[in-house]
Amino acid sequence: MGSQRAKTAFELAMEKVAGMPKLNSEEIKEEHKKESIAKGQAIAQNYLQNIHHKTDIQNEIAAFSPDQEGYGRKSALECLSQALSLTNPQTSRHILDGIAALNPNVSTDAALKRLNNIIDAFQKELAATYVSMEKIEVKRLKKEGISGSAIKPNLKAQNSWQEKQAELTASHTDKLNNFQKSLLPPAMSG
Amino acid sequence: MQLAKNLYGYIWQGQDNNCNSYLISNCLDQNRHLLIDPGHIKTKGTDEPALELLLKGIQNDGLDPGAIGLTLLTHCHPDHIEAASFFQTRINTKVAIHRAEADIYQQMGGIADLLLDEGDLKLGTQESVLLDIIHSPGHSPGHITIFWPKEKVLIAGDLIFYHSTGRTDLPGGSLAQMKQSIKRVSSLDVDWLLCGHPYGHPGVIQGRDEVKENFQFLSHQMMIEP
Repeated sequence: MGSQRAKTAFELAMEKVAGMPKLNSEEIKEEHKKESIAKGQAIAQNYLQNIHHKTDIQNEIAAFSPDQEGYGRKSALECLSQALSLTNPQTSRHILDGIAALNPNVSTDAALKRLNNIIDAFQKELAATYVSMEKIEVKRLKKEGISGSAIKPNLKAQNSWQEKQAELTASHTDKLNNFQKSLLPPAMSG
Repeated sequence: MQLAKNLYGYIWQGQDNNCNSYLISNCLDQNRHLLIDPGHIKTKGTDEPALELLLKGIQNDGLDPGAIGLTLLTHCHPDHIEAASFFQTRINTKVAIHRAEADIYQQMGGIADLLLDEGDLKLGTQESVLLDIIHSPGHSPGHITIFWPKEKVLIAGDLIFYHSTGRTDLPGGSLAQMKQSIKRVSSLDVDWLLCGHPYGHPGVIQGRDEVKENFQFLSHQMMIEP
């Protein structure tokens, strides 16, 4: 009876792997798809954080294998379009530049115009609502015996304003969602 | 203690640091009162019951502390603002602070119901008390002083004390702004100068000549150009 060498952790792991059932082609395809989606999101995040330029993201998507390229591009485009917001318009052009780099059907200027219309309508309604709620509050204060040019209600700190703001944001978010979908190629927007 | 008709002062008499508080009575609807700078709840060094003493002082003057409808804060330092939340949460008193200090106030746990800017503040449904809110930075960026022209009262917060001024070395302080602010208010017609602290003096300077002397002293000390 000879002495038996202890197996290394690597050898034990390899034995376990060898014992596992082999992935079929569908499962391999699914794994590659998940990997491509994750890579596409990472590419978009790097662009949003200004780590990568728009030419970098074009090159990175182009480097995907032909069967994975579609997933990577779609997830990058979805990630970029989700970053568009009603309350942060200063980043819109940068995001749309990135989208236009991955989807040739999108023109930054035209898309920016459409997006600005949505944001402007939201901001105008928000401002008008603020003014009208402030007027009501000023009247209420006057009844309590508090008025004058030195004093204004701190509406932004009040729950009533925060609830109204959330309600308006939700109603305009529907328009934004439709716009975001329109930035994806037709086959991807479903 | 009553200083004049509808005007009360609560001069801090403890050992630890706290501010003087002032009250204008019956100036809001339903005969509710205006309180300026409620101060600490308890002092920070020795736990002196500052708010309890203020409430007793108000009651001793025959006034109901539960009828305080509005609290003005001259600036956002703990020794002036801490007890504001007590009045706000217990009796629904509205709290007002200058717009420039509302964010700091919120970071310190308070929520201002009203934001102040330079301008006039009309109190009472018949607007029977007219106050001027004067933005007076120097001790802090959004420091205000409150002038009541009809009664010639200037509530000075920490801008001016008896023969001294508020510090300018705290965050947001500015000696240049302090000089400008003192220069501005020194031109007002004041019979009562009500200071934010009793430093070496109760902080209630009464009489036109006495007020003038205090401004002259400060102008000389601080080399404020006439």
